[in-house]
Amino acid sequence: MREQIPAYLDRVFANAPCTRKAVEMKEAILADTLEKYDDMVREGKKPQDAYRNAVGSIGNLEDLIASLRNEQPEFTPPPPPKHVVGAKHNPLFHSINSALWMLVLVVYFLLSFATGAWHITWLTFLIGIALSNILRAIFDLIGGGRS
Amino acid sequence: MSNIAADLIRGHTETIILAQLMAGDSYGYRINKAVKQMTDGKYEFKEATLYSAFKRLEEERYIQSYWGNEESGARRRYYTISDLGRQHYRQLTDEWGQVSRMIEMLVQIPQSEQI
Repeated sequence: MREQIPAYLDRVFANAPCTRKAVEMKEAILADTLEKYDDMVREGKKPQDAYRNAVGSIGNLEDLIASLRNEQPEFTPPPPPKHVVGAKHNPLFHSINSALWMLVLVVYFLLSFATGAWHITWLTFLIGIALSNILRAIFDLIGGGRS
Repeated sequence: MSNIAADLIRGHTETIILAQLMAGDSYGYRINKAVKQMTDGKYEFKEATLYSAFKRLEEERYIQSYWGNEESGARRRYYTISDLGRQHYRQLTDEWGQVSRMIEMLVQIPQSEQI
């Protein structure tokens, strides 16, 4: 019977507004009613009688719940968006990235003039793109983990 | 208990709650148990009456509430009286002292005036 007490209060509070006050009141009344039920069972009352008595002692909550409904629901600000300090907003990423491209350019010319194999050395830029993306991924990972 | 008697007590719900809280922080069921004990089991509040009064008292800042730290089961809501509440309690009991004396007089059969 004891486990029917929360169910009873759920039904009574079904039309209550979703405010902090209403939820708190329900929980407080639940605690009172459960304690009363437990006391009566301890005194030797049958569970059915204890349930009827405990629930009966709640009385009519209609007016009280209606009065909660008339109140302005409290303003609960939405949680601030998770600030992700990824590669996009990280100045360190941008400086390393531009240094990388400078390096790629230097390596391209050095290789090309040294070998004269211009038809192959352009691949340096593909390697540069790959390195840049790996760098971005690392910064996103670190930034995402920190937020 | 007759309806009139019950109404009379119910009319003093706030004073009774404040009186209990003057002795220390308490919660709904414990206050009600004290009321039942003091009236030899003849009277106890409905939860609805009790919590309507708690709500009013809290709105008037006569009491404040906080959660107990029960390890298991439903948490109790404890109430504590504020300085404003203590003032209000004294005012209410002073008033009640006067009114109860008045009622005591008023319910007497008047002595017929002698000519």
